[in-house]
Amino acid sequence: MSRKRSSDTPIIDASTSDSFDLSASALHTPTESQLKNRPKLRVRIKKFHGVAHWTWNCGDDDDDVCGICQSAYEGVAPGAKYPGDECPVVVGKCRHYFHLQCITTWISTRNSPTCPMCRQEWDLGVETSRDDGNN
Amino acid sequence: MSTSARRRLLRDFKRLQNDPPSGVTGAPMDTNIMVWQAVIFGPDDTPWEGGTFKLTLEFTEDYPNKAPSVRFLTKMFHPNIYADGQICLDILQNQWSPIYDISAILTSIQSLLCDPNPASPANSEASRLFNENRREYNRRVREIVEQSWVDE
Ligand SMILES: [Zn+2]
Ligand SMILES: [Zn+2]
Repeated sequence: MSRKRSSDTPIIDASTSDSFDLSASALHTPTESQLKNRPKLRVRIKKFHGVAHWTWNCGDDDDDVCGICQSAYEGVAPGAKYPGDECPVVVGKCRHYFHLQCITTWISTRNSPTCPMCRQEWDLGVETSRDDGNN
Repeated sequence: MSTSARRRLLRDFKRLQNDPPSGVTGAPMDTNIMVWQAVIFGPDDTPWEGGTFKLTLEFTEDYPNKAPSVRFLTKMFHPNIYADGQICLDILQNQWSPIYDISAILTSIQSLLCDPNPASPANSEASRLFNENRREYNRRVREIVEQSWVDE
């Protein structure tokens, strides 16, 4: 089998060698030598595309957007360049979620920090973990 | 130029188009997304019924962390609306929250029309008539409604 790589090679290259012996004897319990010589399905993985899905663990917030910027929690808040760890979602003691950048900017405009949703005093809960989709 | 305020205003605009609240409408100026023109229709079965009241909303780069400045262009007669059209409404002042969008602002102003807040009078005559002579108050409101059809 060729090991040559090219962009349009199939993702999985499967080839079988030898031919199947479909005679009646082959259908009985195989002997040692038959086991050794049985046709093999050989699969060589030449390459694969990994696709991962993640979402922030934001409880069962019925809205999937940050109330402040109206962008998805998984999106990029103003001031951040990339989604993910650079643009974390934080939760207050009141269980309301916002992008870290968004709530920080809001609080910096206030004398006393309040949650935009419930107006309770904003107190940072724990940073939410990322749910990588295996729950 | 893309700033977080402009980005947010575009989202507000999309939301206003996809999920239009009843009785209000608004759109940014062609040349400047930071300035919006809006219309609030007087709610049915109230003295405000049939009125078309124009407003302008001006946003700063601090939106949504700061409320826009909102002003009626149509002449109004209301306890919480100043002669120059400025509105005395808590959510546009100290009760502002960055989760409000344009739909929420316009809807709040619409409900203020029929539900004045006596604690913060901006037009003392309207305030007095609302409390002491509702018939005359309603008559004055009807006048404003009719004028709103003429205002261009
Ligand atoms: Zn946000
Ligand atoms: Zn809250």
